[in-house]
Amino acid sequence: MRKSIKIKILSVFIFLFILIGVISCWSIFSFNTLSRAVETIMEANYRSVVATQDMIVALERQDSAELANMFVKDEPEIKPFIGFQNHFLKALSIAENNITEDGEKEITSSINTLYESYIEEFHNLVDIQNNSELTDVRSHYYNTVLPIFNDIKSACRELQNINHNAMLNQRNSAVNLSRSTSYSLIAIFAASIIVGLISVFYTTNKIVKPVYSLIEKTKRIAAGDYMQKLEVQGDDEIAELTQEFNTMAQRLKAFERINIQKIMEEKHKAEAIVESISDAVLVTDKENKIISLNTAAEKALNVSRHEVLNKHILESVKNEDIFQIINSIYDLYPMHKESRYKDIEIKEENETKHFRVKAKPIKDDSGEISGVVTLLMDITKLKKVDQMKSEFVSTVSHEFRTPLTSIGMSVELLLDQKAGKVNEEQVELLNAIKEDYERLRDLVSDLLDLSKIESGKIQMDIVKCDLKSIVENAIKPFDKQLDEKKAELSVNIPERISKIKADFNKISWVLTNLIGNAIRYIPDDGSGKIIVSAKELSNKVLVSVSDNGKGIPEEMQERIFEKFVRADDEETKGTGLGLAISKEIMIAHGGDIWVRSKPEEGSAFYFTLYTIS
Amino acid sequence: MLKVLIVEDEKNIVFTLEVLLKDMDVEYEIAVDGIQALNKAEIFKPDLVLLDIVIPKMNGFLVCEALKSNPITRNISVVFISAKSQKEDIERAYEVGGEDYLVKPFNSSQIIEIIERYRNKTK
Repeated sequence: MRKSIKIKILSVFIFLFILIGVISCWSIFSFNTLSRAVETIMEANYRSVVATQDMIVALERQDSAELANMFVKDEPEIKPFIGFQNHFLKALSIAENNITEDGEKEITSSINTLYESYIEEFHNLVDIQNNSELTDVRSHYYNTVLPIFNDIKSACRELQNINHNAMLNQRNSAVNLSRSTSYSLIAIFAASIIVGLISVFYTTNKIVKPVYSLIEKTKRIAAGDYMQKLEVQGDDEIAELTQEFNTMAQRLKAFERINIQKIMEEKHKAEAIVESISDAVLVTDKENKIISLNTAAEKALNVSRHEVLNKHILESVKNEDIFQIINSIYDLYPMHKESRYKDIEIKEENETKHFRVKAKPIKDDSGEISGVVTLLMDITKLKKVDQMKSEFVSTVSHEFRTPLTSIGMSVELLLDQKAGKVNEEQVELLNAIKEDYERLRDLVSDLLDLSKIESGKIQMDIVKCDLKSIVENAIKPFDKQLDEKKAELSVNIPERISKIKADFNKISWVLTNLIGNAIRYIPDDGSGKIIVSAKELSNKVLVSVSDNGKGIPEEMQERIFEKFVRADDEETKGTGLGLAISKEIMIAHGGDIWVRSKPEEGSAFYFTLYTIS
Repeated sequence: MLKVLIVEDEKNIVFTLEVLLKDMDVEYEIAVDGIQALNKAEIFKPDLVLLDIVIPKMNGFLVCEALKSNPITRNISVVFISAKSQKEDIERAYEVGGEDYLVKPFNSSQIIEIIERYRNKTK
């Protein structure tokens, strides 16, 4: 692993430490030089000055001692003189041992010589004093001793001056030295600070700059731009990081590509599935914008894909019916209801297409609706077949009616004995024909009604109706039958029930049919009960016809609204079409009809009708 | 005596009607297509025509319109007898001048009721 940033930082620090060391050494050296200069002053001159001073003092004392001797009549006292002589010699030896300046040596040796002669003369003086008159002593003193004394003194003074001057010179040079040292130290400090700052800035910059670039590019990658590539510069940790970063970016790119590939595969799969469905499929999002549709849908809705994609369904497809079906999903879903299919028509230039539209919600992870899939089944052909079937049934029924007329009439005429007498057995046979003639007649009539309703040939005449009068109208024909069965029929309708939207005759027909069925199945022993009741719901009226008959087996309950399906096989009275017709009538009213039944307990038929809002 | 013209191409229906009317003190004639019906109406001058709609040569509606536009036959009452039971057909029948409409299959009592009604009317 490279350690170049560490080395860089370390080397900057080492460099700075070396700089500090150099400056410290230089400072120590300068201080040493200064102290040595001071030392030199001390060594070379100060002692000499002191020694010279001592010499002068000692000499003067000797002189004084001499003078004192001169005026003493007694034996001259030599002792003090000798004592000061030692002082002098001691100081002189110090001066001699501390010769530093030019001319110092000559002066000291001359002092030495002079002093030797001074001592000699002193002894001479003592001799003179002992042996001669005072005047001789005096003249010797003044003429010989004093001049030597003065010479020594002046030599000493000279020596003192030399050293004094040297001291002054040394002091000046020391001051100069300290000043120049100060300047050079300032210069070195300034230079070190500048160099230090530059190297610190340079290194910091060098380290931080790629980091900033890294931050910038990382941000872009975070935003999803995987094309970012960093230039690898140098050979340090940042470079390594940069390289790893590039590898990571590449991996991310590859990862994303794989993910996108997977998503695309899923998308293509979904598209292929949608495309392969022969029915028109339309997928819309929450804002009712079309997000997908197949070729069949393009054809069915007569639009092209690029025109409608990502556009609101009303804006692009312009079909109010489909929009309402999709919208109803959003209303139904929270109530956990599934929408039933709805048949719509789409009119084109020369033909009308029929579609059965089913819509299903698309749920997201949280169970919310994120869109709706709408399936449009082309039932144009089915409708045509249906129409043909209805026409066929209608034609066939028609064709039955004419022969039925003559059969019925003939049987009646025979039974009325219009063509001669018939015996009892013949009457029975004729009654059998008559009964079946009536069944055939009713069947043909019901079939025709059904085919008419199915083909939409019968228009519902839906107006504001009073439910009570419909019920009254419906129960009227049953008085006789109820009497025969000794059954009870009660009507239970609230006084203030709202008026309903209905075709009076058709709803009467439905009620008549339901009551007729009920009468057929209730017991004959007088315990039979039929209740017609109504209840008002939010915007609907729920009507029920319940009986205490034998009930309908559970497996039959769904199917009894189909054509020719009977609850039991024994009873053969009805045509098997009544409930099928009732259902068609209820559908045409926008209502519904269903049954709740328990075998042996009874059945209850319910249907709903809208109130006048 | 009430004069009735039966316009019907189904011979069994004609036959049964004949059997029915035979005992009823009614004078009747039979026509089996539209043209014959118009001719017989002019000659026979019936009080009542029992008119089928689906008949050869000229349908019942047109026959009725023709009868109503001819001054000689204008006052003849027309009752349609037809297997057609659709609202439009019945409405059209009344539009062209029919006075009643019997949907096949009818029974003898319905015919008797009509005959008696018109017998009383013409009296």
